[in-house]
Amino acid sequence: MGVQLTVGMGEIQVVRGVGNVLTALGLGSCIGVCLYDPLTRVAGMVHVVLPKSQADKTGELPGKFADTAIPAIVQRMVEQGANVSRLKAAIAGGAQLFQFGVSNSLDVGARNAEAVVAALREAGISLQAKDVGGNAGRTLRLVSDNGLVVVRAIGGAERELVVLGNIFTSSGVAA
Amino acid sequence: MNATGAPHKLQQLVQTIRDLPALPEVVVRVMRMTEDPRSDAQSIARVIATDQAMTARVLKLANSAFYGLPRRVSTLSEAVVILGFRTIKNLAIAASTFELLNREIAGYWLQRGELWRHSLACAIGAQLIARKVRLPVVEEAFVCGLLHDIGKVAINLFVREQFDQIMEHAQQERIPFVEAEQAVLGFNHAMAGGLIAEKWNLPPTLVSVIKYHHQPSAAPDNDPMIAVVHLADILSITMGIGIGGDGLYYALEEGTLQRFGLEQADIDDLCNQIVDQLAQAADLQEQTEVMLR
Repeated sequence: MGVQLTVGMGEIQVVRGVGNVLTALGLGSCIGVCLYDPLTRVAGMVHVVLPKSQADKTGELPGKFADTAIPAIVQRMVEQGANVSRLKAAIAGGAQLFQFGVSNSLDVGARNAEAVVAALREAGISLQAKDVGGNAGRTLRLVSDNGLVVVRAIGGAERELVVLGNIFTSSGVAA
Repeated sequence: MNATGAPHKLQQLVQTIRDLPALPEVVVRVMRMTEDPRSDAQSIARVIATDQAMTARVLKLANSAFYGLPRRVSTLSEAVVILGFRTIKNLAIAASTFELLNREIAGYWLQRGELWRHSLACAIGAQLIARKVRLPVVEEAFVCGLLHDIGKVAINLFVREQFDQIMEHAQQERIPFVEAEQAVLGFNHAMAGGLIAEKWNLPPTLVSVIKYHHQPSAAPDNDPMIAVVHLADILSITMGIGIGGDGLYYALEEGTLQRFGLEQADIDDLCNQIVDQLAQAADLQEQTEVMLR
């Protein structure tokens, strides 16, 4: 019996096996990061809020910052049996305000996207698909059966972003 | 864009606002008393005690984990002394507006609880910003943030039909949602909120904040509290907290950050703290919800 979990701001959720669905609601400038190991079907999602941790404020919610979120979720997934070399990633979110005058201090979305991509690269995880930027809030869903990643922009229809398990499923490894 | 039938719509809006529940008398009195330097804890407690339901709510909220008091508070005057006048005022207002703000706001595609969550994030943010920029009335900022979007409750009924039209107009013209509301309906949620605030006899600062929270510079008095709430609102929206269909189609008024001398690191720090405190306040929300059932 699978579980359906919502991934709140700064939270990390990791599940293993079929029938599980992870969802991040209302991603504005935040980034939802989906990670998936097709062989063990360990699926993880983290809801990143800010690009960089502040030295004294990383403690409770490492998932809040891009630079601490990726190592933390990878560790949790490895504890559940995932192998780092098999992990595939997809990200969505990082929107920005429609219009905000001359200052770019609020372009947290773009800085988040940049930081998440850098952190994934550093962890050696392949980014398979992304849906970032723009002015729309998003909802992101990851299905543990096959690593299906679905994105819905607010006011729009759901669309498939990628199936993170595809490459293995087609070769029969995770079938 | 023509605001077809706008005067008629405006009349309907005014009628809807008349039909909204009034702020309980006890809250209005508590608000006045907490502003009055001659008030004391006992007299404020006595006023709250005249409303049994309010008394129970305030005591439960005071004992919620959000306030992290070291021991259980069992009397109102104790709560007033320990938490302070202004916090008690916040509690009374939060308890009395929760039901209104916790509704589904279908016209803005906000599920039940989302407007409350956004309002709470804005209240927390406004308090943090007010403290950071050394505004003398930090506690006031909480209430201002909590009530800034009250107009959405009333305007929701009208927006439902014309929401798509407003969205389309905002996108095509690349204008903020609040301007698109104005163009399509002939009024916007900030104006509607101002009318509610006046109906509730809220203090002038609060009325101004609600009325001008999308355009602080248009306020006749240019009260810095309006810009504080404006920024808190934008930060909460940016992070997607209580984001509806109108979502990110809001603009930060130029010069707001410069006015307060805030930089990127300050913004990140504020966002960080809003997320932390909102997580703690989830307990406050649960408590409120339970006791209103």
